[in-house]
Amino acid sequence: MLTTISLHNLLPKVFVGSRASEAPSDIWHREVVLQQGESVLIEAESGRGKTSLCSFISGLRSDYEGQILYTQSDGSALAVEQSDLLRQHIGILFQEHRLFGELSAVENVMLKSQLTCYATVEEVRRQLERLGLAECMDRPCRTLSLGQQQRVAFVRALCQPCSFLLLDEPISHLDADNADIMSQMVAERQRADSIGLIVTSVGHRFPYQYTRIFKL
Amino acid sequence: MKLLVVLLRRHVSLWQLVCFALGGLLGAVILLLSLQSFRDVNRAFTTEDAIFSENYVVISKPVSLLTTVQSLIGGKSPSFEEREIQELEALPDVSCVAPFRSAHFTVEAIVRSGKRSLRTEMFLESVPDDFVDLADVNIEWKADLNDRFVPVLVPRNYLDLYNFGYASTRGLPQLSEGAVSQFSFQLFIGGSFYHARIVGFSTRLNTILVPDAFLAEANRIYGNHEKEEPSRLVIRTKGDAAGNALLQHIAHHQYIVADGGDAMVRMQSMVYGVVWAVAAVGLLVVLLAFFLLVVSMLLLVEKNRDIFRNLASMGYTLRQMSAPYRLLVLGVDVTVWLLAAIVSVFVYPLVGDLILMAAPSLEPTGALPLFLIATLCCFVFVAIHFFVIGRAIKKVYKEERR
Repeated sequence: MLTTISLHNLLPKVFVGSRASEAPSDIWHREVVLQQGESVLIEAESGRGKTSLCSFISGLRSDYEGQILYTQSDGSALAVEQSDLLRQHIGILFQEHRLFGELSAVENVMLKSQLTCYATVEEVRRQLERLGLAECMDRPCRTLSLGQQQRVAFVRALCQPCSFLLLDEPISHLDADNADIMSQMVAERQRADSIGLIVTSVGHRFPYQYTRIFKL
Repeated sequence: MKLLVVLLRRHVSLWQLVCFALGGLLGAVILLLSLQSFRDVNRAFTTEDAIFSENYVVISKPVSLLTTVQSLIGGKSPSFEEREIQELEALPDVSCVAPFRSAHFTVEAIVRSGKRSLRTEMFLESVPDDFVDLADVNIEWKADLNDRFVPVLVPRNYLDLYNFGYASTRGLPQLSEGAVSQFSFQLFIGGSFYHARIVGFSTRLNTILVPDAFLAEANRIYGNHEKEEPSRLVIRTKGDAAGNALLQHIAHHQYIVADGGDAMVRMQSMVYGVVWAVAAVGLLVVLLAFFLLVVSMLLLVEKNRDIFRNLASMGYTLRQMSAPYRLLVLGVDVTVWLLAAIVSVFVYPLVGDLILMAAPSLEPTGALPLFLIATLCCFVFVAIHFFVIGRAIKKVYKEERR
């Protein structure tokens, strides 16, 4: 169980020496500690590195300066190179979804869920039905709309035990009703497991009660 | 795993796999058959009753006009130095080297018939007793100066020369080996007479042989006491050797081989060469087929790069991502080598029976060695394939985490 994620003087390498590095930011070149249980919103214009930050935190990319430290509940540190382990603690909804087009919605979610045996097929179906995907959950994802794919990717992000949940622009293709349902599902999960929530937004905010808001 | 298989079977061509498997099967069968042939050829060449278990090669140094002139003016005849004998003994396909011992004294053979007698000078030679082909000799091959009886072996072709080259043209009776063996004659050595009889005919050594102990003692007493180096050597080769080293050594030093005695060695060398050539062809075909399978797998990994990227981002480990492709190549490898072993077991008797004709007492090889070799080869190829696939996926995995 991860209890904190500490960002020390973080800056994407592509920003080094550029004007972007000089712009004021609550994250870049700062000391930031993200706690399990808190809800954080990171807002920024396009191109300020929101998706990069999510990739850095989840261990998918390492092209940055500075340091990211992960502290476990027993006080020990988890190295960022242990990316396999990191992804067991951090659920992530990618901006580009990263679904497999030839698999159905249910299969896409089960592909993730079976790694940790988190949810049964019936539980996954219930989650998808809640988000209005009852009629299309058995179709290949390539036949779904972007909004439907986003909802599938959201359910998939939830289908693992995690300490932190990263949602990278989670409602960019969704209407307000679906955004509210997703918000409820996140709140239920946070109440149940005290997960830390990190949401990025380019302007269309994910509706939630945030403990902190950062400008990137 | 089922979902992973569904995901990763994209771009997998069943026909391609079948073609690789067939190519690998062909190469594997050739390889297994040739390895088994090598094994049986080796057994045939080394078992005691085999035709080719041991060979004897008699060599001498070439006699030229120069050496003749040297001999006339008191020089040495071509002979083998101790160093040269040691070089021969050190060759891998040589079992033993023995010099011909010559008589260093005058020998006369005398045949008496009533009051008449015929005398002629003759030569005697000897080699160690274990080099003499005594299989058809019924008498003990032993003599010393106290015995006054000396058994003699002559070359078989002497009798053939008489029977077919002389007797038949002169109207004289042809003689059998038994008839010749009945004749006794005398050897006049150092003022003493010894009874002698031809007790057998040698196909191996083209000389007039007497027991080595007898000649050694006679040289000591009647000889000129000069240490002479041998002018001829008899070499016993190992049955399981290719014979190449000896043949190359003989060619390099331009030794003369008596009576084509190296023919058997050359034949053995050729047989081993053919077997290894066939094995090399089989190995090449196998390597080519399995190399193409590897290339196909690498292409698959490359084509499915996005899938691996996304799986990695979801938390799939390298081992989990490699599993479907590794299972696929495992299936291909095991199927190919198992089928190859089975086919070889049925096909091999056609070849093996020919080989075993050279050693009738040998039992046919069972199926176990073929299956063992196939299992070993399967392990090797599976390990290589697993390693290559794992490394390819790891490369994609690392590139994802740039």
